[in-house]
Parts: sequence; structure tokens; C-alpha cells
Amino acid sequence: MSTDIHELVGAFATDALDDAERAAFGAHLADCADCRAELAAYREVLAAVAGAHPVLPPAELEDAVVAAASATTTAGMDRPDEQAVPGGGTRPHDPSAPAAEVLPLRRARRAGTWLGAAAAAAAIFAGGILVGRQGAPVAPVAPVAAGDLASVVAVASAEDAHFVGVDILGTETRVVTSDEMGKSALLASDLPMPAKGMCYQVWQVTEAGEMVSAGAFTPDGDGHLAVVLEGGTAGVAKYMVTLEPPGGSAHPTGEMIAEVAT
Amino acid sequence: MTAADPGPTPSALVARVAGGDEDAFRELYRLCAPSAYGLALRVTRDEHLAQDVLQEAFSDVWAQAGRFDPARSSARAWVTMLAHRRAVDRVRREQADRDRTERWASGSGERPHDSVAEVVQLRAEHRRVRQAMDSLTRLQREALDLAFHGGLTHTEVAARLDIPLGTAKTRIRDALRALRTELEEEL
Repeated sequence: MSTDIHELVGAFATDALDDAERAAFGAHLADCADCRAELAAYREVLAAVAGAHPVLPPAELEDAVVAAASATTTAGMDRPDEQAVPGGGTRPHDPSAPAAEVLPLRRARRAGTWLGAAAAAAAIFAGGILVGRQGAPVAPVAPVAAGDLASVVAVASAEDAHFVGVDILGTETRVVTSDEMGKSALLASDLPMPAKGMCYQVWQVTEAGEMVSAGAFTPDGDGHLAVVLEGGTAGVAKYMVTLEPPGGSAHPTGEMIAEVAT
Repeated sequence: MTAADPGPTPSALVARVAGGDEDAFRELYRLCAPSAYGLALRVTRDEHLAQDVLQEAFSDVWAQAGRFDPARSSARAWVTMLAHRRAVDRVRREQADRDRTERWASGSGERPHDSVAEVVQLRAEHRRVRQAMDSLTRLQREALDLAFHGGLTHTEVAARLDIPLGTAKTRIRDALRALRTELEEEL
């Protein structure tokens, strides 16, 4: 062999070795300070090469990445890794068993930036939700917890999820519905805060013209709103949005500000 | 953050991430994601795959932050390494996708979709790195590109370039060595 094992350092740095060679070179690294130093230098070179072609990822990815990473694993508690090998050498273990379970991005992506809004809203949502079904007096319930994001994402990433745009006071919001799940969710960013403690209340309008509250909501301070609407989806002909006093109303009393057919 | 306040270094952020600091993780993501995503795009030639790769890589960052050793490498190099591995793993798993390397070889994939991915303003150091790349011989650059951006093993590099395996190894190493010399001052 005309090339000795030191020669593999370049291919190792570029992840161009097969498994057996990688293992052999990893073992060699433990004993070879020269190769460790050379590898470290090449890693910096490759970081510079990668850094010379930066591309901003889609904005909504940030929340998904943070949520996926932090929700599923404790920081720094992962399996032994390559830094156990001098020079930082092995590959991630079984690539089919990633460190953290990741959100099904491919599907969630269909919701586009609305999921970004959902994530942001769920993370920092501070308002209260009032729920009123069947015309009963509404009772305050806890503000949307971060956990609700999972529900919104679940609806938005369902196979049959479909979105309709709704203009609320000049802000484009979306209602996403999954008939399969029998759920719908409202997603908005830049939604103005209603005046004087008023809230937005969403109403399901049945084909018979009956109106049933699907919840009363306020956006957070940044105008984000991401909530799963109350009630199922069967028999819903359209949604209407009214402005209601704090706590919402048993029946629509305020101005109708938006209407959308499902 | 103002221009006068460069903020914490990536290395300092990784140390905080190791302690479970989500804000630090977010900041590290903002600092390093454009490089990692640009790399993932170049390797995978596919926005969706690249986004999955980015997410996997940062899950690794989160999980492995406790083992990052700032004495051994910069945080950027470490994140780049994690992202590259995930990207290469991904394309090798999708080996059936021969079109990818065909596209790569034909140069049609040379630039990822600018239409959907806003390209960050180029800075002087980026130009410097590109100049360094240009200083490589064509043979060196070809071998390095196929290995690093093409996601090929050195055996595949050798086959594609129709050169002996030993030559492929040497070319990859020579390319890195030359870049190192060119970039000595900035690294």
C-alpha cells in the first residue's frame, strides 16, 4: 500500500471513509498526536468552507428545532460520542435512531409559517381561553399551555389538513381543519389585541344556522395566536368571529368581524 | 444586540447549552444555522432533506453539548462536523437517488434554491475562503468537492474520477492542506 494510515486523515475529516476504515482510523487517532492536530486543523478549514456559503433556513424552522431538541432529550445527556475519541472521530451511531425524536417536519411544513406562529404563540401565550359549548355559560380555563402546541401541530400536520384563510381586522389568519381528527385550529400572527379587554370569539355555524361557541381567545403581546378550536368538525358550514366582552358570550353579541366557509 | 456587543461566543453558548439553557441554544442556532443549512443544502441538494438534516444536527448539538471540548475545536467546527455527518448519513441512506450525484456532477445543482432560501450577505471572510478554494488545483478541488459536498466515500471519489484509491485519498488531504495554508491567518 503506497498510502499509510495517516493519509486517511483528509477522507476522515470529510466523512468519506467507510465504516471499517473509520474505525481503524479512529483507533489510530488515539495514538497519533500529529493526526489529531491535523484533523483539528482540517475541521476548522471545513467549517470555514461551509461558512462561506451560508443560507438562511426558513424562519419557522427555528422553533421546530428548539422544540424538538429540548422536548425530547436532556441537554448534554446523550450517549457517548466521538469526543471520547481524540480528535472527535466517530460517526453518530445508528443514523436510524437519532438522538432526539424529531417533529415530522415534512408534514408539518405544509402549514408553513403558520406553524412558526403556532410555536411562538404556544411558547409565550399569556392570555386566557374561555370555552363555551352548547350555549352554557362560559367558564375561564387555564391559559394555553405550551403543550397545546402539540395539539395544534397535530391538527395542522394531519394528512387531510386543509387551510382556509380568514381576514380578521385586516390580518390574515388561518383555520386549519382535519376531518379525520375531527378538529380544527386557528392560527394567526400579528393579530391586533382587541380593545378594552375584549376578546375574539369563534363560532361554528351549522348548516341549520345554529351558532355554537368554539372558544374565545386573545392573542399574546406579539399578536400570535394558535389554538385548537372547541367542538368537532362534522356539520360545520362556516366559522364566524365576533368581538365579545371579556370572558366571551353564550351567544354572539358583538360585531361580526370575520366569516369563512369551511 | 448592537454592533458594539458581539454577544457570547459560540463556544460559550455551547457550554450553556450543556446546562440545558434553551435561550443559549436558540442563540447558537441563529449563529450557526446558516452555515449548517448552506452545507446541508449543498450535500443533499434538497430543501426538505436539508431542513431535516438541520433539525437532526441541532438535536445532536443539544444532546452532545456536554461533550464539546473548546480546547479541541471551535464550536463552529464542531457544529459543522455534526451537520455534515447528518447530511452525509442522509444522502447515503437515500443512495437510490442517483440523480443527486448526476445533478451534482452536471453542475445543475451548484446553487441551492435561492428563491426560497435567502442568501446571507457575503462578508469579506467568505470571499477569502472562496478565493482559497479557487487557489486549489482543479484536481484537488474536484476531489474535495465530491467528498465533502458530494457526500461520496473516497472509494466512490476514486471511481468517479477514475483514479486509484490512494490518489483519491491524497488529493483530498492535499486539498485540505492547501486550504489550511491559504487560510492560516484567519483560522
